[in-house]
Amino acid sequence: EDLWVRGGRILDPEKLFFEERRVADERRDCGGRILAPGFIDVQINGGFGVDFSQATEDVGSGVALVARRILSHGVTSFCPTLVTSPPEVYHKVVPQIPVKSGGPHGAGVLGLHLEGPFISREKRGAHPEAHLRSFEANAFQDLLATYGPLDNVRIVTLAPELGHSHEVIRELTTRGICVSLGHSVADLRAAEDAVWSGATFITHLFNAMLPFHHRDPGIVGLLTSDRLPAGRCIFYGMIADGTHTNPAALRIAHRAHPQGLVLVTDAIPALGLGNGRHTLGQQEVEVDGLTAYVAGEPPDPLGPRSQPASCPLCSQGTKTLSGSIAPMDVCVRHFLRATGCSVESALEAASLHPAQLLGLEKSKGTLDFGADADFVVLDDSLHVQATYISGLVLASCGDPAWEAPMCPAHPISVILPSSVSPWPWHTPILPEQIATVGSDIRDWCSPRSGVVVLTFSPFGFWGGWPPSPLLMGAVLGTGGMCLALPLFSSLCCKAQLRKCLQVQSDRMVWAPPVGREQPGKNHLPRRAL
Amino acid sequence: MRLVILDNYDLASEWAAKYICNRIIQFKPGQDRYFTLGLPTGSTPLGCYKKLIEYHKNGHLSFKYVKTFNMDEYVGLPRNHPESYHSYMWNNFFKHIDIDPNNAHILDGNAADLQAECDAFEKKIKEAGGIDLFVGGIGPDGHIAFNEPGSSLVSRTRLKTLAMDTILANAKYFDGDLSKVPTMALTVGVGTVMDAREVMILITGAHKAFALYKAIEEGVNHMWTVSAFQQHPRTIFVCDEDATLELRVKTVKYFKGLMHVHNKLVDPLFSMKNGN
Repeated sequence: EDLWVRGGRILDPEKLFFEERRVADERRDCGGRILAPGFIDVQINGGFGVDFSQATEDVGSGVALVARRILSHGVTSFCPTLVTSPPEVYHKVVPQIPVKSGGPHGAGVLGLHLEGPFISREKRGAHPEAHLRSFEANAFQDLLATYGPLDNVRIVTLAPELGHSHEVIRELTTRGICVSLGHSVADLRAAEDAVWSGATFITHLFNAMLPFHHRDPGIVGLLTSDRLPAGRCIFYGMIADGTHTNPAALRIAHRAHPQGLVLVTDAIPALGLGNGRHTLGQQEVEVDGLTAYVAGEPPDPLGPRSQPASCPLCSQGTKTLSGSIAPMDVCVRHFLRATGCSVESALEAASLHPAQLLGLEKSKGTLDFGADADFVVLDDSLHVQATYISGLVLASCGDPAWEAPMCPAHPISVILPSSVSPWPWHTPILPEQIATVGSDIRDWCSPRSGVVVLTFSPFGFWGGWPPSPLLMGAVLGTGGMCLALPLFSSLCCKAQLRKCLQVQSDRMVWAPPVGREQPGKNHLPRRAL
Repeated sequence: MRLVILDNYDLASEWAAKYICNRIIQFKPGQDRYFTLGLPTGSTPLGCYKKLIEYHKNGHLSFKYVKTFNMDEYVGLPRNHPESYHSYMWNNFFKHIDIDPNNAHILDGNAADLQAECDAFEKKIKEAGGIDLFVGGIGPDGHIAFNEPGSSLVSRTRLKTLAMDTILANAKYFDGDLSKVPTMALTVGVGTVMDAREVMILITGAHKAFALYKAIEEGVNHMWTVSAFQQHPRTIFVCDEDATLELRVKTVKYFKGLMHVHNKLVDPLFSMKNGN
């Protein structure tokens, strides 16, 4: 099927043929790639160093930067999200982010998503406690006083167990603002009542709410509740970055209610930047690889890869997740792999469902005739090749300016199990070992955009410098067997690893072992070599 | 007439497509010389259309200088209805080839004055210089286009009410709901098709076998309107084995014996690629 575009809209070619008697003026061959509606991100707190919740003088240019950069992730429309902030911040920032159509300047702004401050203290997550609020007697006026005028607002996340929340939900719904339940300790009954009042969305399901319990499923139970208004579909956001939700939980939610699943990034300003400390609203967060935590002590050098967030041994840092830095297309791929769903379902979760949530399904999130021509060109493994808004190609692979979406912010180190021999010659890694460790990498790192870095603790013998083949040869010439063995086995391992991970050999770089970091040599370049 | 018998549906479709391809290319169409083609709808010609699209995609055949005239269209069905013949032609043929939309003529079943629409269609055919090759199919009741049993054999393009047989046969395309099936259609007349310089009828499947028998082994009869083509100077019937089941063994053997002559019409297969 060919896609026809005219005047920024998708065109019915049959009508064009029989009524106007015209053919195409220009044809573009996409080489059999997938054309999908542009992704819509309804929860994104910032990115590339920009924090939407910071009351700077020029909020507009920050939003514009993010709008431009997320194009390469396949996102064509988004809802800039503000986390819990003091009223001054809302009064300053909200008027500066108007609804705006997408175009050559970047993805379209569909309206703001205000997450908080009317949320539960207990489930505040990374939101700062000091600025949480509850509704007073004059509930809706209180909300207006906090946020200011609501013209640019599209979604509000609140906790329905707060007093007077129902009148607020009703007021917001009548004004066309989508109400979302999140950061809440509401039980299923309270959640259902909130849906009857007008709530239609659940903010990042499973996170910042009571866990599913078989006698009181809580907000999670809305997915299969039979006490909802007839014909109403409850939508729920899922952060499919592999950290916020275990893939098994993702599958449970997807199987229970696939039509309501909305993929969100919940991206923080550190999206697209390296490791380290960044801000999120009034809070500091620590980024390491693809995970971000509320900043505390420096995290364990072995990192969250080997110690999951709920690990009781992880005393450094905190274990409170704080947003995500997985770009939208990474989330789509991870979602596809984790659930085993069809490609269409995965793409709909990132495009059609958010459009339906916001009532925009006639013009966004679809390739129907008459819809806005916002679409992405994807290869078979769902990597974004080009992004179009209103029929104009705005970002495409191969452009010098193309930012190949990086999965990790920096190359991942493969940490070998501690059982690896400390001797100068080490046990070659078995393919099975590579497969288990490597599949982690495969999940996050496409050969095209990432670099696999092997860290071998035995190479401490080499004093921490990456051994180059030339040097190895020289040493070999003078050294003898005890040097030849590590060389030989390491070369074998490299070949094995390369085959398992299907990475090109020029993308495999030797690095000093963890624990023996050398200043200046550990942070390898962010981009592929 | 020529009776070309192929082993199965696919081979029959391919033979027909090759013949059309060769006729177009041998005609040497150009700016002032358009090849006029009459086209059918239904399940029988689908294979033939697919093959023609394949030849086009491979660069062997261009429809730039081809004018087409379809045989019929339902009355009262919206043009973009999935079962309208406009949709059929778009989805199965026009959208895959390079024909100029101004040269693709289909009767408009929603015109205000249906008879005027029919007359205009006849006029367009005349202005195009008549039809070089009219491709058609046959109904189980032996009709050509929607010229149901009893149609005049010299009829022109007009409005026809569909026979119950046809409505029942079409019900499967309308969710089995008889009330949704159109009861009237505009169709070219038997006389209109007879005016073409050459006629090719595609007949495949055992359910068409009796109609084929009546059309070629019995006399000219307005109850089996395809029989009119016994009086046309250049007719080809392309069929598969199943369609010959009601014919006399002698007829089948005779025409199969002529296949080496028939095949000369499609072999060599010409191509526009070689700088034609």
